[in-house]
Amino acid sequence: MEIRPILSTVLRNPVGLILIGLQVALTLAIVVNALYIIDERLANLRIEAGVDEEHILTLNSAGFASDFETTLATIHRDLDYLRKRPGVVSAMATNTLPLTQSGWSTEVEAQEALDGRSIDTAIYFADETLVETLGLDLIAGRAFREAEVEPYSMDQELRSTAVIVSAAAALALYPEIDRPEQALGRLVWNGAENDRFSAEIVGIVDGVKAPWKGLSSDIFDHVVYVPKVPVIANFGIYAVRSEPGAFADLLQNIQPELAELDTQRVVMEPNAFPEIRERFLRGDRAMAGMLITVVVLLLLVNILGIVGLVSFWVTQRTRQIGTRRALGATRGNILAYFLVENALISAMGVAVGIVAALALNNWLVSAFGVDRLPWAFLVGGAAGLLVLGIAAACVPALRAAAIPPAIATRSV
Amino acid sequence: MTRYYLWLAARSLRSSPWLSGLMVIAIALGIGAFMTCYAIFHAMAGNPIPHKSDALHAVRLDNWSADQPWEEPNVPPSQMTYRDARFLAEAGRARYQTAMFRIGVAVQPDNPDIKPLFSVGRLTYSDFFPMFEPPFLYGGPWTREQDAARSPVIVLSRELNEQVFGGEDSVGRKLRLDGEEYTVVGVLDTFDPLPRYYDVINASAFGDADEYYLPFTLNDHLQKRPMGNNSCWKNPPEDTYQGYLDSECVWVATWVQLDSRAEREAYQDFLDNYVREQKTLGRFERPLNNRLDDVMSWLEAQRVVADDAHIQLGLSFAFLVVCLLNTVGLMLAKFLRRSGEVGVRRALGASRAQVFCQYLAESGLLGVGGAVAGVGLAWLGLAVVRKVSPDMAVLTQLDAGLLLFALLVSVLAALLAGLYPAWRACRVAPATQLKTQ
Amino acid sequence: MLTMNNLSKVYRTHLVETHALREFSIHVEEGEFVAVTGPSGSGKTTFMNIAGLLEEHTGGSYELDGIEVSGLSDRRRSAIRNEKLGFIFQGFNLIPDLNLFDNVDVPLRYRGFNASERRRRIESALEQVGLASRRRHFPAELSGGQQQRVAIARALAGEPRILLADEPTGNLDSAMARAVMEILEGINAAGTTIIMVTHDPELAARARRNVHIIDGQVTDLSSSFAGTPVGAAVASA
Repeated sequence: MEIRPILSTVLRNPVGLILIGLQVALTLAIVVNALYIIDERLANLRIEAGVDEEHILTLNSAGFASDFETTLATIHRDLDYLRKRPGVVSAMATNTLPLTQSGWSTEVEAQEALDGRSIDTAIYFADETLVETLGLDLIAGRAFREAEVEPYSMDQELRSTAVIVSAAAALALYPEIDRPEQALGRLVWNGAENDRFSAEIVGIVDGVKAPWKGLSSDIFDHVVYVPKVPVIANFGIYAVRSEPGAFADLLQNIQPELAELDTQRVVMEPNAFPEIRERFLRGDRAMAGMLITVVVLLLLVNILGIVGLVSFWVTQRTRQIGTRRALGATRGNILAYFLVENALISAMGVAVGIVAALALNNWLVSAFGVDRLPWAFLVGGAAGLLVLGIAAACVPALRAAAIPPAIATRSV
Repeated sequence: MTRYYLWLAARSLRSSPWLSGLMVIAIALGIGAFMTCYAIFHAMAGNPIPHKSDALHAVRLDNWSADQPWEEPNVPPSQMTYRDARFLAEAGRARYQTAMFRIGVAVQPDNPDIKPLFSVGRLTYSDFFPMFEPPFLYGGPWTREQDAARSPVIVLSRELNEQVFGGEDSVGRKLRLDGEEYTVVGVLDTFDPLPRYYDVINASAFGDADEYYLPFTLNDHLQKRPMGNNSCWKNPPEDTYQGYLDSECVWVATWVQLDSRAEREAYQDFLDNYVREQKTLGRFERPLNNRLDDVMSWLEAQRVVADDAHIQLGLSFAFLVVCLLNTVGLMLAKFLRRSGEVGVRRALGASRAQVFCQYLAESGLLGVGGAVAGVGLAWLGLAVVRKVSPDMAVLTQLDAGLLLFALLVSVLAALLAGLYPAWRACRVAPATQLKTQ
Repeated sequence: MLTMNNLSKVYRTHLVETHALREFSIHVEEGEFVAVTGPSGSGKTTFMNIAGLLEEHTGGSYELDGIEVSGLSDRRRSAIRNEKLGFIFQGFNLIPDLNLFDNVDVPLRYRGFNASERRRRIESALEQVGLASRRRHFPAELSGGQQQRVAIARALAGEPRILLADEPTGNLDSAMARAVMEILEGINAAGTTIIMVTHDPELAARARRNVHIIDGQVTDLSSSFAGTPVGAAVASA
């Protein structure tokens, strides 16, 4: 089949070209960028917090009295109760858990001097039961020792001599090591310029996440545990890990049980970790859902548009097609004619679309910090849209091929 | 004549239900997706207090480290140190001013049937009420005198009043929080500005309201830590609560009401002079960088409208455009299929303008159909958003204004889409059409 | 009533110029019944289109009912078509979506008559062609002859000065054609000028004057020849 005459027909009546071409171009620009964002968000949905997510809940207590001793005593009493309770694997006092969107962070350094290597990291409080309570993956070193764990009040500066860090934090802090285990025994520095102090890395845990994602820094994987029982004003914050099968019961009964243990305080509703995770991922899920809807509708509308317009052309050219058939064109020729015509138009649309997709991506990158579009998405999207366009054109093109030659000779 | 066109349009749409249906669906999908995103965006980007949004100002002072700004490029911290906030609140240099932060307390109702509950509220000055104008159900705000006297008074939210006092007029009643007793002076009615502009840092801008308000000055002995963001660039001078209050940590919000440009300029001078004076004491190491933002620029600076909402709005608009291009094609097909009728009408005395209007009316009617179906889809879309993200529920309202907007956008879009097809239709040469019939 | 002087019509594409009418002059008096004949491609249709203001001429002058129409705006030309001209086509050209009443209503709408005036005119026009009782029917429900009568009613409803009929009986069998012709003659008798293009020598013979167009130029056959074999011979050539 000769392409040139078809091309010249297309160019002579450019309205269809513009309409379908623009549609294809815009669709490509949107779909490729949306798919890329969707891909990112769906990847987020698979995030693992690095803890035994299915069996952890967190629970807060707020005492009527806010002095340090009363609060600490309440925390100890609650922990005693929790640890002895059937169905509980382990429990500890902490400040916050991964993915809760609220917590503490600080900057720590790899050396005493302030101008060297430093990272932003989340700070978690933990005691000797840390690994058991959260179900962490301890890849090197040891858990905290009971003797290392001290109560901490908000009025103190946060100092400790031992820390457990996440593997990612270790690698970021000491770029010269190849494996996180090699950070064991190294010192992590903190404190003001003239008042530096250090803590030894006694354990390395893998995969645990910070409470939030940093906008610019990669704090999400940077975690430092300090051996402290936080006594934050009148609060006790507990992480509790249940035995498999006991989670639902724990979630339902733990609040009234603790409330009964000590009536001079409020025990708040427990939060199951899966719910914390769900809240953390809500934005990503909503975004992915919304974009998937738009992509699907967009492709649908495109198919409808192409089917509609090509049908119109077929109707308009019924006579012409009949004449061609009468002059010896086969059904295949007619089918091919419309498909080639549509492929030409779609290809031009795709060409414009690639430019538009890159422009849209540029805007997303500069205005919203979205990542740059990989070529694979662009190429895949372009090819997919071309195929879709031709497939859509098949419907009316087949109808055109079915037009009998006799049409040409009919007068009205 | 318009009625005649609309009558013709309705007949024409009915006579080809498939094609008309396709066009309505195309417009409706575009409008539905766009309106779903627009409703959320509109709620996020709305002005929460239109009548005085340019009078209320968030105050920022740049007390951050000489080495690096709070945030690039040279952005001052979004909250203030306790000492600066308190100084500004008590200096009284604006018409109204307040410093505030959120706290959490255990509420112990007298009624033994009501369990103690944990409740989040706000320490603030009495000026909070005339500034942000929360509606009172009972009683009213406390006074500036009570601020100064550290009076143990409290204003309850409607919700907390219902929980603790069963919703009755509790003014004059006592309520125990964290072991201390407070006298109720007022109960608010529902107070849900959207977004919650006066504190977008420590609570979700679209989240729950504070459950009570206490005089800020009570903190002298309450010694509360904030339930919210706290940032420090250096350690407090000493390891005590007082050390925290004297530190360079920022965790208190400061707002002022300045009713005129002159007041605003005077207040800016006042701030700059204050910081210059503090510089002589060794604080404020950075160059002068004190900001006064009115409500809308504050919301913008704090990026209250989520990036995702921007992206969704942009993409859904592009989707609408694709739907319209689609509609242009379908209309072209539909209108030109009736070239014969155009020829007849032209021969019978219709001018080009009249034919053009007739077809434009048909486009407009399609737009109305698209709007109705599109609003239905948007309603559905918002219901899905509510289901997926319950915390966004307040953002998913379709009010009369939005419905009107949807209708307007839809009809305008359809008219726009109809322009070219209608133009093509009215340019049809009547003579050729009449002969070939 | 209608005067064309040295009128010309040239169709141009970027390759060719076609002269459809050249130095075309004709004068039609009020009340005449003119039959236009000529081989296909001679310019009959172009003449009718220009006479009916459906196309603009490229040169010369054209005066219609005392108005020089050269260079008038589309709006003015449309208004003239609407008020002074009536059209009847070979293919009837009724609007299939509209019933008879609404079809006849079309030109009256553009005329801007009020509802009661339109109703009166539509009913009387349909009465005149004997289809008043079927005004709620749609064109597809009628025979060709009936459809053409509706088209005549539509053309008459605006009380035009000139009726332009392009092969009005071309799609009809001879009985129906005769009926339509009788109606046209009745209209002409009532004072309306009629210009009719036809292939049919018998019909041409019934007109009071015959005009023959060849190669875009007029050969006027005087009315005294009407009815003689000459007209028929030329028309069938």
